Amino acid sequence: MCTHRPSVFLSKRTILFLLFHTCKMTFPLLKLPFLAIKNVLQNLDAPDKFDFSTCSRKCRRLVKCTRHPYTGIDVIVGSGRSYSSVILRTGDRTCYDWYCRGQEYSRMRVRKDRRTVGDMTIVFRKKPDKMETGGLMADKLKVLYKYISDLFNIPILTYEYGNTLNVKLLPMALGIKKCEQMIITAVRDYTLDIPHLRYVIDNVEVSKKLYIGYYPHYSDFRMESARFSMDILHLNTAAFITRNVFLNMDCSVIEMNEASLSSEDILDFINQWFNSKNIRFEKLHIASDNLKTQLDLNGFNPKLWNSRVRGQYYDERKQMNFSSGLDIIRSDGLLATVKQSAEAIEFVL
Amino acid sequence: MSCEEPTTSPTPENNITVVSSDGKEFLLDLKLTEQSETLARLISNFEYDRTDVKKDPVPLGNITSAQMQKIIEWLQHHRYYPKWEQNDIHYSTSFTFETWVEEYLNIPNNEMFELLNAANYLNIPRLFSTICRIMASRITGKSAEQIRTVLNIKTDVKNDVYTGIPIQEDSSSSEDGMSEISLSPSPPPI
Repeated sequence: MCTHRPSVFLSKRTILFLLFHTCKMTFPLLKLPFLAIKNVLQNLDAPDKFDFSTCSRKCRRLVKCTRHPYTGIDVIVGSGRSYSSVILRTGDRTCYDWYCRGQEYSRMRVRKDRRTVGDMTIVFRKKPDKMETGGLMADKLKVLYKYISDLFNIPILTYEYGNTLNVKLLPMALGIKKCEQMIITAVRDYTLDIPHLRYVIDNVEVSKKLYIGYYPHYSDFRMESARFSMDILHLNTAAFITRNVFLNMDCSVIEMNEASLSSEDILDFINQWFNSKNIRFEKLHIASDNLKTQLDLNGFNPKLWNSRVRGQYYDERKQMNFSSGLDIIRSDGLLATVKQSAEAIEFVL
Repeated sequence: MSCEEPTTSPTPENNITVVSSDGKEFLLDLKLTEQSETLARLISNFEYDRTDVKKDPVPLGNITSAQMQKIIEWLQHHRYYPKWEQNDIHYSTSFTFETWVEEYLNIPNNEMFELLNAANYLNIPRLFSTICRIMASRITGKSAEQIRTVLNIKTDVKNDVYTGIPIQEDSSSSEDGMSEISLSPSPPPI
């Protein structure tokens, strides 16, 4: 078999011409003084800074050294298997979205769309408002959010998990340890010993709000030693919360449904507040089947709710009506109202 | 923004001579030099703004005559503009330019690079900031590979920065149909 390789000869003139035009076309930004590089980078938007940072390690370091307006990222895992997003934020404004679709794009396999992100090469299609990639995987999402968070030196503001079967996108799999808000709508986690839920409660530091909607009910699972200290705690399936954990909570707002706590536990909580100087606490709402016993508030010198002291409703949504509640006053003058019904106890300041 | 430019004839009292790296002399009105912080400070230090002080030519060893010509054109155009104030550019990106500026900076990238260096050396903030914005506008919207080409960046990403582990391919992009494309761990240098 004859193997001929066509050889290409470029004349000296052609080479000089190509070199001349290459020099004319390129702008060796990295050879500029740092001040100039920084000034150029500050004029770029987030996706362009991101792309520039993936060019080389030096580029990444330069972006890291540049001031930027971003305040944090949101990690959103959508419902079903459809998508996940890493959203860059400046305050309430969305700056950019790195979007992972569940399905693979066949047309995206173009060399120019490949970016080296952390320890992975990811194919992205760049759009003005978002950068899309196909094939949603935990590894990819993990690499992506860590890279963006590190690049702009910003925290995770919100982690949001929709109703999906993919437990590999829960905080434990992604290695999330800290965020301001964690909203887990529904999880179909049937893993033995529910490690994902334990991880969220034991290992993730949530500062503002933790909401866990539906989580499969395990009769033998009890959380014995966790401490909740976020501003707002909302657990829709709170059977695993024990008396000790409940009394140790240091939150402004606590809402728990399907709790296994008794009226006595809640009376102890009220007693603890009454004898403390805690000014953080605002509201407790507990719904449970074990609240049949009437709370004995006599020790707090209660008075019937008085519309002149406090309005009829707690907030604009009018979900909490004080009309049959009891008012108690702490030694520092703070007024609290307790209301008990067949299914729930409310204790608000 | 545009300003009317009243014509004033330079007199020896109100101008200085600067010498470019290739030895060409330029007569500069003192009013123009106010836009360059480097020249303004030099004039102030040597008291060249006084009529009784002898003014020696100022050598500008980093700037060629072509660049100086271009810079004087800029200074002349912005002669009656208000003093440049740095806005908080970090939080707003604007790629709209005056028509005159667009025409003035409609030059090849290599000339732009030299002009930016000259603006940085002479510390002309308005010109410096404008070129930086023009450069940013030329990068905007490009892919990483296109940015590498435009800025002549050779990639050095072979292992992960933190772990040192060789970079993996995104498995979602390494299916059939990709075989014709070289899937080296990192994009090849340009």
